[in-house]
Amino acid sequence: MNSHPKRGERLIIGCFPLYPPVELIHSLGMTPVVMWGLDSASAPTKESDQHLQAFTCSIARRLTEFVLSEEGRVLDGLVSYNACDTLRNLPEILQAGLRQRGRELSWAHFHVPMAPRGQTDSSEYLRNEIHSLIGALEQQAGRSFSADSFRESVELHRRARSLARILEAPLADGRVSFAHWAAALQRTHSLPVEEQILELEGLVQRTASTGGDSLRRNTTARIVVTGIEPPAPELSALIDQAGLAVVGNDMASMARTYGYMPADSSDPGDYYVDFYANHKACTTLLHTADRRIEAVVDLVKERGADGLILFGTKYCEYEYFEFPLLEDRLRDEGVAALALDFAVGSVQNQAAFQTRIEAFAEMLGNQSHNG
Amino acid sequence: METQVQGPSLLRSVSRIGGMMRASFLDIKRQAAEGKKVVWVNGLPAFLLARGAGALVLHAEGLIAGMAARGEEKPFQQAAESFGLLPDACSYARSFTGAALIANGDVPLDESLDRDRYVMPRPDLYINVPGGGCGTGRLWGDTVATICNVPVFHLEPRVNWERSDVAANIEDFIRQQMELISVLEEITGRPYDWDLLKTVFQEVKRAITLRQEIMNLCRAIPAPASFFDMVASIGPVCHLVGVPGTGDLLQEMKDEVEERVAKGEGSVPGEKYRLYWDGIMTWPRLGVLARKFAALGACVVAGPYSHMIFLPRADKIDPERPLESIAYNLCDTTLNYDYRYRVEAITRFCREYAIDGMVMSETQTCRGINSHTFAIMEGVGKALQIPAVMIGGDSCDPRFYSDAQVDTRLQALLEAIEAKRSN
Repeated sequence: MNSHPKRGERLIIGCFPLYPPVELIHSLGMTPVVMWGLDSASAPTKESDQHLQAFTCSIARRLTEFVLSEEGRVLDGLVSYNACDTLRNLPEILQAGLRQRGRELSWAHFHVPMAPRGQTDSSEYLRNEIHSLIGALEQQAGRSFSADSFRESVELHRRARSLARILEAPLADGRVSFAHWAAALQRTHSLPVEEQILELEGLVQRTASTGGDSLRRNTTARIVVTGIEPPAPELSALIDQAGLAVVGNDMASMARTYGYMPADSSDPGDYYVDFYANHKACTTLLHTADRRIEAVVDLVKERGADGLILFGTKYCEYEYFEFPLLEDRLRDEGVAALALDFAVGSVQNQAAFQTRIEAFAEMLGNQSHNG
Repeated sequence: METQVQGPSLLRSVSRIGGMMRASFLDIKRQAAEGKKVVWVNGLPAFLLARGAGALVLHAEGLIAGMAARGEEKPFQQAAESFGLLPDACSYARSFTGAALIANGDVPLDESLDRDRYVMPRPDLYINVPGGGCGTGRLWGDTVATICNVPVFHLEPRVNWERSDVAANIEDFIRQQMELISVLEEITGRPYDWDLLKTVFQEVKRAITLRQEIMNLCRAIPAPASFFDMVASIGPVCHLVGVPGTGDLLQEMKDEVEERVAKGEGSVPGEKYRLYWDGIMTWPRLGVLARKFAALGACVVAGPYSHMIFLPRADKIDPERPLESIAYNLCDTTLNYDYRYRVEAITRFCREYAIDGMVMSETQTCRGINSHTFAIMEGVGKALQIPAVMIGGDSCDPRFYSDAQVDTRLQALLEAIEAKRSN
């Protein structure tokens, strides 16, 4: 993660997991930074290791390392909501770790109910949670909520997300290399939304003129990639080198993040009830679990993909449970799937991943040749 | 290598629980074959509501823990792994997913194995009741329901981040239970039997109250029963809860404990150390661990898994108000609060049981239980100035357990306690 310097009086709020109410935080004059996919993939986790077991996922370990290390001093506060069991406990572990280091960060939190909407309507509960959160954020920000500011922030984020969606087209057409595309998109991730928009506008312009003929000619097979954490650039490059064209991304920090925005922003409670209820189904949003498998299968079919690669996060139990059912459904559709999983330091073991990706590409190539 | 020495003095009544559990699973199979509805459940005993609908209740962890304690869990785990579940996934969930695959006929059972033990009757409904914010139950429930092609219902007792959250969480949990009752009416095709539920709750009240009294008696020095007795007695307040006969068993257990207190007899002969256990029981090593600790004069007296999870609020159980009773017992319990509250509660708990040291058992495949371990160890250890050690383990997968490691660390813990005493 490129930690940016404090900008004027704007407080920097570290948020996790992936889909915090960034519009709301921004509207209160603070800069939300989603602490996900932190890029120190091979860096040591010595601070985190004092608080988390080695068999904790890399997301939690790197996030903890960032917050507790000197780098984390850039933060003025934390905002979190529930996802998995590890992340549900993490804010308290961070608070305890910070206290041991003589530091403190304000922490605002809320709960997204996990039961599916088809079973129970928890809208009222979530609306109350959002209204309580506003009170906590007002204290963090030292200013009151303004409906006008909220609407303005929503429009900025709408612009950023729609630009990101525009960037999906050249990927789907096989005109850009996934490694370059993912790296460029990831660079915008921790920027304030105003800067994100500028970066994304530049990317849209540059990719509009990309021909990508050589890429298309050298393609062995078309794949969709999925996973809650973006692959390290070295691993994305392996996909390109194996001749696989990524025609669809279902990465949590990419397509799932910018896939949906509510139309009505007049009330933040209603806005976030809609936002979470209709969010792109994600492994980290338990209430969407029942529509998750079909969402991925639909994407694979829509993009005409021959295969799917899961960039799995080792020790992420939710992915463990999702993959066998997904693999089964894809098999019904004649689509092959490969699961890779990554822990802290895995990227150093590149050769093993290279062999598996190349074998998968070869298998898809043979299928396509024979089929 | 297992330590071979004189074991603890286990309660006679406790030795009957395994047989009662096995008999219960056989009875479920028999009644299911006669056409009675079967509900599979995981987690906490809000599934009691299914008993009020006249359904048979098969509790996942109850089945798996018992099989793991007898070393019979492997075929379930192999079935789950053939399905694609990785060994780092929750071993309760993984094993039960294997049980579903076998019940559904998706994975054939080795012919040398006893079908009565391994092939469960297929469910008509799955209910997930996670405790302490556990999210794994959601995926576990969905997976098993998908395999068996049955509906799934998720209850969610929400975490109390502040004391003021409790009232709203209880109110919302009662609402969720009402929704479950509607689903149960659809499944059984008849109106919900509130009178039956209240009758069930008479037995529940008796069983839970007796177990609480037994736990209180175990504050005596030496402790008349150990943590290992108490984890074995989870069955009567979980899978068997509300079933006639469980109250009688717990009464027998209480009588034995009272007798020991009166005679000054301990569970561990010559009790020298009183220990706290954090984490889920490593079921496949239940006997090994009980003997190992006893051999060194160490009595593991109590822990949250045995004392704070399964209907721990006997005071809040009112047979006339079953939904409120369940809501309090799921929402207003120690493990449903934030870490600071838990540290305070566990500190008080360790004082009440005169604990000398803490054994933090890593339940390696349970993220919910595990992640606070260092923080609890630090918070409680500092407050009470008592030593603690971490040992490897897991609820149902013995691959995460090492005898040699436990021997070394236990020795270190006892030495630390001795050093503190001599100072």
